[in-house]
Amino acid sequence: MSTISRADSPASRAARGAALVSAALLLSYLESFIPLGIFLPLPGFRLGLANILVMFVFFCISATEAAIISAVRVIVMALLFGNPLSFFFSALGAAFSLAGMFVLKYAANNKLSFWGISVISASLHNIGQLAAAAILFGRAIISYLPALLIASAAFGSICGILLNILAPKILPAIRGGER
Amino acid sequence: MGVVRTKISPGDIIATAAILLAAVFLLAAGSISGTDAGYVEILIGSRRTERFDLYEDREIVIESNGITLTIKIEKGGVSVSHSDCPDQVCVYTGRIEKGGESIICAPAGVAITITGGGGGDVDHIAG
Repeated sequence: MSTISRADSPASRAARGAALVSAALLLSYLESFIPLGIFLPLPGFRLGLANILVMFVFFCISATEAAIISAVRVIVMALLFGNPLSFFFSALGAAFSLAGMFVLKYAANNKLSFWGISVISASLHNIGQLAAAAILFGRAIISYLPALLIASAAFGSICGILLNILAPKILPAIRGGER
Repeated sequence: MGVVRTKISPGDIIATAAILLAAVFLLAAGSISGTDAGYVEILIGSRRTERFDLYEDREIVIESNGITLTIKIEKGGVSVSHSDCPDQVCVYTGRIEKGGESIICAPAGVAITITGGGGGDVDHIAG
């Protein structure tokens, strides 16, 4: 899987960045309507659809752009729909997840597809949120960890396999039809 | 620069299995050590804590972050019978009765935990 050349102009990168952030926000917004609580009463748990986008950008465009998109998504979601509390949870989760991607980028050269990356980054994201909750609510909340990890593995797998299928198809479109 | 594959590879299976194994291990470890149950501790907004006897039936209404929660302590267990919060996770969690278990309402910033305590004749069981 080849990466996109970085020789684009700042203007085109800004436009692309804005489009990607909007897409990430849309994914986050839409998934917030899915009432997972009925099946899986885990506080603050989400499908993690926006992570599909962040992973794609991280590994196929640029790590820095992915980090920026992730940060902007967390901030805007918190401003529009959240509160300082949810921002703290979200931010720590996203930070853990991105850190994991950075490590995987250099450690797992070609040994993982998006499936494995998705499972690991989803798990880290949820661990980050749990850590944030534990800081605020005390250590009792750590009892949610096993269920959270199983759910992360499940939904992370779905997102990762989905990206495995989608990435080769999206990449040419983002390149703008070159080649 | 690392490049990512799009074909499923053994690494993926190992990663997923590792996470699942960690979960199972934590579950097993958690069920061995438990704390005894005596009180219901309600943490509101990470600043206020209220404590109630687990064995005295009562209904408590609290408000935090603009969300009102109705908490029922009944027959040695706690549950959130009603909540204004958008995701209702606290209500769906259902009833808890064992020490260490908790119900969390993330939007409201409320954590309800069953903690130990109780009479002086109860020994503390090391986990």
